[in-house]
Amino acid sequence: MSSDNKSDAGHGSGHASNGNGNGNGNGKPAIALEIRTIALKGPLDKGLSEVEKALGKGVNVVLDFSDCHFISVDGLEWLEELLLRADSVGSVVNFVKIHPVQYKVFKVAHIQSLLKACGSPAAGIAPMC
Amino acid sequence: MTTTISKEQEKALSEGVEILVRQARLAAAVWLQYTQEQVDEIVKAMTTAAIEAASELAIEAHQETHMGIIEDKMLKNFVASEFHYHQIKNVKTVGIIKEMPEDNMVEVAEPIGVILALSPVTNPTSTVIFKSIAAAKTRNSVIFSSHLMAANASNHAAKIVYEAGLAAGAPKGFITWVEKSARLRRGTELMMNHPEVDLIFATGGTQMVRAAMSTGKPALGVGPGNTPVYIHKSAPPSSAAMDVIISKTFDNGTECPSEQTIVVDREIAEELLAEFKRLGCYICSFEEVEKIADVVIDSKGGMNYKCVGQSANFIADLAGLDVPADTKILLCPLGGDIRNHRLAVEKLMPVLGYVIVDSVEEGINRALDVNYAGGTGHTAGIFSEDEAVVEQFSTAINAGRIIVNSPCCIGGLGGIYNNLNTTLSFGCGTGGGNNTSDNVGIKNLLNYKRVPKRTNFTLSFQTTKNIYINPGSLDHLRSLKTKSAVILTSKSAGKRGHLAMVTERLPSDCAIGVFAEIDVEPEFSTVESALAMLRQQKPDTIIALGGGSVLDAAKIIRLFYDHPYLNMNELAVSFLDFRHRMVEFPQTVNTQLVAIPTTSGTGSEVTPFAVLKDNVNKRKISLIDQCLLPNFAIIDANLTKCLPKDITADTAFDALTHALESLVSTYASDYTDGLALESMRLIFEALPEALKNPSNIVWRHKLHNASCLAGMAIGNASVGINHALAHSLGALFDVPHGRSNAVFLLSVLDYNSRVPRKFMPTSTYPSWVADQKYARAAQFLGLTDPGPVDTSGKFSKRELESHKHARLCKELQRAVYDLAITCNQPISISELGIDPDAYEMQMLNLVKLSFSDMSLRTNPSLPVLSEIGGLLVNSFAPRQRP
Repeated sequence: MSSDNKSDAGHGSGHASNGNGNGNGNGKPAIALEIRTIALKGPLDKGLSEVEKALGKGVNVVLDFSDCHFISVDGLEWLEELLLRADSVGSVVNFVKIHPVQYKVFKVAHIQSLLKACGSPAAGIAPMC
Repeated sequence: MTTTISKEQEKALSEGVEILVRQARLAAAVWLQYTQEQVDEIVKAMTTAAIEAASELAIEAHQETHMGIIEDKMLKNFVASEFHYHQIKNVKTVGIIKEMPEDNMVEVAEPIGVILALSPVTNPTSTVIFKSIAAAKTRNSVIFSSHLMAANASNHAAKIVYEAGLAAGAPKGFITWVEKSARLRRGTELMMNHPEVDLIFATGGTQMVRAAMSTGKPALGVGPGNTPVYIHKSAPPSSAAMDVIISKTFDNGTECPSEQTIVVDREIAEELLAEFKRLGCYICSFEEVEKIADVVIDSKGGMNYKCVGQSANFIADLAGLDVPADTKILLCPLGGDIRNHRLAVEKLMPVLGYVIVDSVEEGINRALDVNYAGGTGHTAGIFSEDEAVVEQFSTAINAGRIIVNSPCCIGGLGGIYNNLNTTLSFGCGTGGGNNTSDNVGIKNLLNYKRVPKRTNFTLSFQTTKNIYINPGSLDHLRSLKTKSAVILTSKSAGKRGHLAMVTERLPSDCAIGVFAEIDVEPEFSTVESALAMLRQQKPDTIIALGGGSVLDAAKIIRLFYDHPYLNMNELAVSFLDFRHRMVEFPQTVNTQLVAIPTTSGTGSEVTPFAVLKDNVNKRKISLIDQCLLPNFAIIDANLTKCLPKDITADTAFDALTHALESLVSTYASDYTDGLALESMRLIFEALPEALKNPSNIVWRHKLHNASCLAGMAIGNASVGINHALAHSLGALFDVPHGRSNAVFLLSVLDYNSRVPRKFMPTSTYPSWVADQKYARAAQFLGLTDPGPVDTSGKFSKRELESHKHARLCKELQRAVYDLAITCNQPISISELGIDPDAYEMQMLNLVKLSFSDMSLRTNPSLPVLSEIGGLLVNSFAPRQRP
């Protein structure tokens, strides 16, 4: 599994770190965040250091699954840990372009954080996968 | 014995359970991505590993449980791996697993998810091997919780197949197990109730299975066995004895399908017992039987677990019996009432009860006694060369597997002596408290998704085979092949000269009879009278000469003449879907039927319908079948020249209703549309002219053709709500059919042209097009869209089209209104002289009759009761021009 790293500077209106749709809701301008999109290539069966390195305060990571057609148990566990780590450093990680088979893997795995990363209803935003 | 667990231990146990369940959950999720090829490679690797470890695991199982026979345990390991694999290797379990082209459907596999598998002490390693392979083949993950007394061997088996599967690419954690400990049972309880466990697959003792089934979770269980085997006198004693010995000694009798009591015909009993003895079994005396019962049956009436899987000699020693060394089975005669005998229960050991009987009936009854003494639904066996006896036995006994002329135990395992699917888990059906009586296997470890595609529906087009048209076509009668004909007609046919026109054209050597008693809307009594006449005359031809009532009656008369055994009430049973109707009409009719309509409305000469009135129940009975179609139809307008104006208009409006209803019917096709449109056009063209010049044959001919064309249309597309309303009005108020149709026509046109409240659910009608059809009809009549067309841009193209259709529908309604006014045709109920109060009083009956009329079922919209009521009300008051 490898990844492609793209870095976009985004303004806060859709990507505020507190998750609000428009800034942080108190009239103050939203914090400018960096969004890094990383495309996963091939099967996800272990951790990817470049993804972990991308985490940081003020950085949102978008994992693009369009070229990922298999996730192993280790891969699932790593994703779960990644989301925990992201949460602890103030990053938000979202998953995009997930194929239905892999999306179903998330559904059947019953791991709420993974579903949330896909934008499940609990997250209050429309699904992105 | 209850083990108390501290809070810390409970917490540790719960955490351990969470870990196991989570591993299984993740593996179950990851399995979803595997292809059939990947799964099959994994299963092959697991099977290979199991075969290679078969003897090692057999030894371990025997050492740990102290039960059974190593060699037989090894055999079971082979059955669970090699035999099992052989049966399932080519079975599809991923994606589309079954295609059913005849049903336009496929089946797609969906794994169960996480399976908690409980394995027994009697078949520890073979059960684990079997369930592991089955779980992998179906992309499920499995957590094993084994019997405490066999946990080490069981878990070792699980480890072997797991590691082989993992090496071949299976998801990590797809097989896990509960380690042997004093808290194994508590751990199992926690897992049984864990929300992440999707299915409990329980194989074991009754208590364990019952616990699994009572969790409220989907569970596959097994039941206790108590196998009765009937040995019929036709069975060769030598092979029966050997087979029973093979079975009952297999793993020292620990297999639950093994024989527990044999029921032997007296004729062969002596020889059979001698053979048992010769082959190394010990026949006990009654006194010895009691001693055996004392040791093998516990105080609660069940088997003593200390004896389970022990040798015959071990048990004999326990009972204080002196039997030869290497005795294979202790055979125990069960005296007295077998239902009360202590030994007539499951005994997983080489102790076999027997009774001797004097007949097949007694044999089956004694077998039933055993069957219903704790092993219902499990297994039974029969040795017989008489197929009738085998069938009788199989019908009576309640067992998921009834093994014939083979060892029950190994026969029940499947794949060795027969083609049952191999299993180590025997479903017992509801008799044993299970939800299946299968040899449980991969088939039970999948969810099946059925994907039915919309059924293609083949419409057919059928009509009277030979139709002779044009004025003068009555001359065809001259060449009719008939020696004896009966003319069915009404009294007026004679007065109008129609009867003479027919009789003088029939062949000179034809014997002619006439039945002229058919009135308008006849009842069955008229049919019966006609039949009496026909049975005397015995004609080869029936000639129906008259309006719709005569033609319909003639069809029914011909049917009952050819098939006197038929029951009218049965034939008249209603149906929702013609393809599924209950009633079966005869395939053929023999008597030739010639239909000669003398009115231009019914179309009955070319339809498979016949309607009779039922005055007793105030309803109309409709018979519908292709066998009712006449052989010939003669469409000669000369017969209609003398029709009074009111009947001309009534019948023409009947034909117009046919045309309009068939056009929008859910069974309409391009074939019937063409007929309907031309019929309608002819009526609009010819009716006013025919009323102005009644004797002008050209207009009469067009009307007569229009009627026949519309008849062909409804004969294939059927009618709709207009007819349902007309039938009910006609039945309750004696209104002629054509007139009944006319008074509802405008309301129905308006109703059917609007978007339905409820669409008609039928596969023959892919989209609602009634408005388009009416619009086309309007255009076919030369009517144009009055506009205006909205150019504001507010509406989509589709909406603008809809508006245009609505305008044209209105034009059509105006055209029908204008035609009716021109022809002085009543188009509302108030014009029929029906008292409004009387009408109101009958409203409920009208609604009920209309609602249950079959005509409704091909209407383009499904009318709800309130809409039917609305139409009935709406059609009463005098009409305004739409």
